[in-house]
Amino acid sequence: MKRVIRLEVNGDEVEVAVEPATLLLDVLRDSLGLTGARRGCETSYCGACTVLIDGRVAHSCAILAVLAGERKITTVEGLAQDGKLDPLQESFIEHNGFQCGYCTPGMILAAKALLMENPDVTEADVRRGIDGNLCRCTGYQKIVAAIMGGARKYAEKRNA
Amino acid sequence: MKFEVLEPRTLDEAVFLLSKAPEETRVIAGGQSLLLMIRSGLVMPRFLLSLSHVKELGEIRLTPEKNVYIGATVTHREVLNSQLLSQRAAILLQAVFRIGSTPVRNFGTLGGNLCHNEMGSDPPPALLALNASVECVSGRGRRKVPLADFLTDYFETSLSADEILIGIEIPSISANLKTVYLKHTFRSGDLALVGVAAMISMQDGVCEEMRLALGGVGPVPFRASKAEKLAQQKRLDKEVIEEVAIAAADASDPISDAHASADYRKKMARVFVRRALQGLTSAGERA
Repeated sequence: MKRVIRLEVNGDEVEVAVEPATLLLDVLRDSLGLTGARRGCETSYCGACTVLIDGRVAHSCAILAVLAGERKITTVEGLAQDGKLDPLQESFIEHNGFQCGYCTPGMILAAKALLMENPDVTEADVRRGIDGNLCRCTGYQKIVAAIMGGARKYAEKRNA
Repeated sequence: MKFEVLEPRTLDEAVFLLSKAPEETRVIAGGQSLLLMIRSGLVMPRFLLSLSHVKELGEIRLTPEKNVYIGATVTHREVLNSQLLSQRAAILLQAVFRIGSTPVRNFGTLGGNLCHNEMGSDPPPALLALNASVECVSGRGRRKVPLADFLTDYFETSLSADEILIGIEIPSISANLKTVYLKHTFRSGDLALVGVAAMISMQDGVCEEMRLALGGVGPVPFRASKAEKLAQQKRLDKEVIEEVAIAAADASDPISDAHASADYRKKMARVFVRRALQGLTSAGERA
């Protein structure tokens, strides 16, 4: 039987009717049209489906939508403010932090959560911070560089 | 995939709901393992009983006997951030640090990890070395079970269908015990091919106490008791460490699968026990 759940997605309150077995990933993509979270391995390994729940990295393929009720969900669509990209997103563009782009939303969100919690990251922190996100194109170098660049952008903003 | 989700607010309510259809109900906390089991069709429950709203299960606290008690829904992330646990059970943090990936640690729970009992999981060897026990509750009452008796076989535990694991209790340990958890795996997100939890205390140059637990190399993680005894009251030189490592590997009973052969796992058990003990003893000399 369907149940109505309330979520806060990218700052907007939404109500959705879902089956108990519906994954958070499916609600985001199929009910809300937010396709930034990708369907990848669907076994909580690859991280293509990464979103933030209350600011923390989550694999939305491993979370039941009904159990995410009343929580704040952030997808990659929620990062840009007033049409302006998040500094992390800009940094990914500047560093070419992607090739095919499939893992990119997940990488950016994992980095966002990391930098919100720990603004002074080292490269080792970054590599650990994206341990739930696989990239099969780039070998990670440019992704790590992009995240370190994003950290510098955030720092400049703080000190401005 | 079809089931109903039940969300009790209290433990009593949870126990009651479970008692109504124990064989058809699965208890879910973080769901990081259970959901994958359900989605691959290995488990097909009619009801999922979520513990998320049972507040009392989410605490880490000291018992009157000064043991640490970890509620069943405490996440790996919360374990890693706990001051109390870092002071009293550092080896558990070392093991939890190696679990899966950040998202799994954010939502996965220690209680769920133990109930899932997957081969090569990181926390069990550390908890066995700490002599931890688990508390279970059902309509028939509460019971405390040593972790070694709780973990019974691949993906099997001694939890009855109508029982809920509600917490993990860790006795306090001597401050002299130095501890380490080592994990051997090819990719960071994987389960351990071998996980070794080692604790040593030295007195006047000889080993006063050794605790050694291995995971990933048998149906259940285990304490290598024979190996531990070999170290008693001995200087831990190269020869003794090798003897202990051989005895620990002999006690293992690994499987062969796509990741590694049984032979390789046994060999690595010896190597990683040796490394753990070498690390702990050389650190002791420097101190």
